[in-house]
Amino acid sequence: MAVLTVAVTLFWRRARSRLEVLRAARPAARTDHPGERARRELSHVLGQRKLFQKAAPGVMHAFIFWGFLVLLPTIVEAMLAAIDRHWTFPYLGHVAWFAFLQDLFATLVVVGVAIAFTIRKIQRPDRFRGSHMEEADRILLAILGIVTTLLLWNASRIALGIAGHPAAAPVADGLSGLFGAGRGTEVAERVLVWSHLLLVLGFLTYLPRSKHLHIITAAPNVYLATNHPRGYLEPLRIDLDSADADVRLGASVATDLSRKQVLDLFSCTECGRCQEVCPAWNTGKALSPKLLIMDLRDQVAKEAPLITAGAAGIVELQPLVPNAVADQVVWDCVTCGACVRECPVDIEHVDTIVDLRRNLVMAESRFPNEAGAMLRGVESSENPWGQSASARTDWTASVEDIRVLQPGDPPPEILFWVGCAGAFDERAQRTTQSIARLLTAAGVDYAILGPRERCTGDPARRMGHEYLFQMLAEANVEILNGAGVTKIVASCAHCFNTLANEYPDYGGAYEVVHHTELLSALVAEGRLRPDPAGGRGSVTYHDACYLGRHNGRYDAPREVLRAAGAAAVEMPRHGERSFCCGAGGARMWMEETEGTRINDTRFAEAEATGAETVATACPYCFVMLDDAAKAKGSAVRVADVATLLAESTLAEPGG
Amino acid sequence: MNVVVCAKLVPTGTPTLGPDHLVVRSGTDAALDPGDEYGLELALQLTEQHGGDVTVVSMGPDEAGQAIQRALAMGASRGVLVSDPSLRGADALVTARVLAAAIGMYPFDLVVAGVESTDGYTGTVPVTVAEILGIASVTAVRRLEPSDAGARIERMTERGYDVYECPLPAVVTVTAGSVEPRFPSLKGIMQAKQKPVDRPSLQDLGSRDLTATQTVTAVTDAPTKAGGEVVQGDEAVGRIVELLAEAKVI
Ligand SMILES: Cc1cc2nc3c(=O)[nH]c(=O)nc-3n(C[C@H](O)[C@H](O)[C@@H](O)COP(=O)(O)OP(=O)(O)OC[C@H]3O[C@@H](n4cnc5c(N)ncnc54)[C@H](O)[C@@H]3O)c2cc1C
Ligand code: SF4
Ligand code: SF4
Repeated sequence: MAVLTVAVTLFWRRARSRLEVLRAARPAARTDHPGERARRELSHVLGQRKLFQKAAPGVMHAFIFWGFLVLLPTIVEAMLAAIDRHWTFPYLGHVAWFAFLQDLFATLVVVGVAIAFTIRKIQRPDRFRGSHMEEADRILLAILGIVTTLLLWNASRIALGIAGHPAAAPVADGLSGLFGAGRGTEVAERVLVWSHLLLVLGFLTYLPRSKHLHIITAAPNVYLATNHPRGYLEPLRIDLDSADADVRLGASVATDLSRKQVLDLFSCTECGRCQEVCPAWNTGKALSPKLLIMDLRDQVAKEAPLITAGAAGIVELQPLVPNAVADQVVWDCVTCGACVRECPVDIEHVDTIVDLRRNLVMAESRFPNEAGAMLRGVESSENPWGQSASARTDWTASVEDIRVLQPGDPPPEILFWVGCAGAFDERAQRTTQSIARLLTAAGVDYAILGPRERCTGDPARRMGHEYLFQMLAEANVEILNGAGVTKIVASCAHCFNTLANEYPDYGGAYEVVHHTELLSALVAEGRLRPDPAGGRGSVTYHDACYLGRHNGRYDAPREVLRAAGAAAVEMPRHGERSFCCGAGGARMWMEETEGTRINDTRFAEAEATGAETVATACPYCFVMLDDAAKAKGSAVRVADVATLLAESTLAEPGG
Repeated sequence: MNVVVCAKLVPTGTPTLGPDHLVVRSGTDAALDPGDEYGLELALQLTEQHGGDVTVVSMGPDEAGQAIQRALAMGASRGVLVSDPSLRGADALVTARVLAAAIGMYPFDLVVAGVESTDGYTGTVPVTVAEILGIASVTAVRRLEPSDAGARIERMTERGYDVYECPLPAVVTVTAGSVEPRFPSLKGIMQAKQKPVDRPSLQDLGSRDLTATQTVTAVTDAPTKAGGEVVQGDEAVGRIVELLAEAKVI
């Protein structure tokens, strides 16, 4: 009894400090749609869905996790038996099936631990670089100790004839041969039950300070994960007129983080799955999403006493950047979301990174110099290129009959949202022209906003300038609503994501489709008739993060390519596991000097498929991969899906 | 070192002329002249390194307050706006008189301005200000550091740069690209609202000749160049010789 009290008290004392840090954090409104959250709990936690994204580690973890669940009642059973060896559960303690489950799952845990050690000691994958390896070993050994003492204890009970159904527990039964029936076994049985219990309780007190805390935090963390498409960012409302100078502008210190963000930190298991897929880490940048989370966690843990001391302590908190993470780390991220997708406990790295950026940009005005030109352009000319609004229609010069929606005009069936890249970038203009020609050929009733279109604000928002984004979003929504627009087709994956997922927060609810979706539908309806013998050769399609992983659009671009007569080959990393082109998260506007270039890395992967053409569906990807192709002097062509379709559909594709 | 920075509000789009043939300055999109951001940045860096305050002075319509707010958001500590209907259409000389009078109300070691404004680009205001204040001026400055004599100044030339030792106070105009103007933080924008902006009247400025003295009587478009003649083919050489002879060049 005393042992139990001590262990529970110790556990509680340590866990409480974590709880108080959580309580001090900003509340996060993440309890809507309980049904969807519960379903995720079933699949991600009980079903271990994300863990099975990797086969052996998935099996390893599922064995240990399921074993842990099944063996929970055993702890109480052992406690009863520790007091008197004949005490047990009224019903469970006597049935054969429970004895069987115990025996089976304890064995599976042993197998799981064996797999874990094989992975860690023999395979040694790179994803563990920077993780606490000894701590993990200690935890695995403790788990192994807990289940082996359990198996041996059961074996000794079989030897003593206390256990009811020896045949139902073949492993323990087999082990019972180790024990005689005499006095020695009686002592051994006592020693085993107590070592089992002491190990369990010791483990409990160790938990709150270790990465193994995830066994408590993971389930709530998964429950609180966002229900939005992954490309969505939560708004940070800024009202300059009523705000005083102390308003929270993103995350500066630990207490600026939301409860979900803090729970994220306490949930990380250091498994490194995120690090393994991160384009920044893979190309030699300072950023690793795992190290970012660990470093933030360490600072929050270190400052826990200050945080819980209340107002007096909070003034002494150190800024998270550069104390926990360096400035460069924050700017290395392309917001591709690969880390979030991979993380088995639904940690949301991108939200935290953007919150750190928000503070650097809006409070400190501290960011890579070269990105200033983009912000300045967005601020004064309402596009990152700093071009005049009247130049937005320059691309229409070589395309006949483009309707520019004038104030007071009846709305078109579909508004073609050209986007800044599509309007101002010379190469992206070709895609815009192809789309326009295809829509005209299919007889679609569409129009563009022309000079009244503004940047959606995506680059400013991903850069952390929430206020600039908010102003642009409000202005665009006003124009769109004023024009009576109900359906939009966007050619840029970033515009698509912002219009579809983020504008509803600003009063703009439209049906938004990507041009590949619209084109694919037009082909299916027979309104566009590509020549299937168009001879497009072999094409490999590069999934844009903001179209694919962030919004689940994988099929439409591939269908269009197939219709255009292309023989599709896939890159090793495609679909949900596509590798970023390097332009997202406003990285398009920053220099990339460390390590190898992300676009070169991706282009090399595309080239290695042997495809003659790399197809893209976003102007950013197009420009990045085309740059990489040119830099390499490669014969492989980079072209948008729409351009390829135009070439096999239209007599005069132009462009 | 206390620095006064001259900051002008300029239209951001294509400027339009009103019925009085003057540039419409009220109610149109306008911003702090990007050219003035370089001078401001240089001034901010100077005071950050060597102490002192930056005061921004602007003459213009009420909207010029935006240019001042921007400068305050970037880090200037005080704004001065001279706005009077009688100054509408002021020429470069009157502008310089007004600015000199306003600058004279504040303690300063240095006056910083742009080389030329983006809209009027006479490039004469700053040197005129210096003349009225009776102090030295150096144009096209790319770098400035305090020195024993006053300031060590690098002035851009066609070939490179000259180095001057200049007594202070002085007026300098700063070339574009010499420094990287900072992007104001939102904190800065909010704090700017709390900073003082003085609005001296023309009486406060005390000098007499402070009204616009010129009226614009007519504005004509510059004649568009005629299309020119494209000469091609075998006769081209002969035709060119003919044309040159016509133009009395040969
Ligand atoms: C199309 C047009 C035609 C004009 N024609 C004439 C003309 O023929 N004759 C004439 O005398 N004036 C003319 N003006 C008016 C004149 O240009 C400006 O109003 C007057 O201020 C001269 O300044 P500037 O812009 O040439 O200044 P510059 O001397 O080019 O400006 C250099 C720097 O001085 C400072 N500065 C200039 N003006 C101000 C200000 N108002 N407030 C604060 N700082 C300032 C800024 O730092 C600026 O970068 C014309 C204006 C326009 C737009
Ligand atoms: S979003 Fe992409 S670049 Fe950013 S940390 Fe995650 S994996 Fe790395
Ligand atoms: S953040 Fe998630 S994926 Fe990355 S190490 Fe932690 S638990 Fe693993």
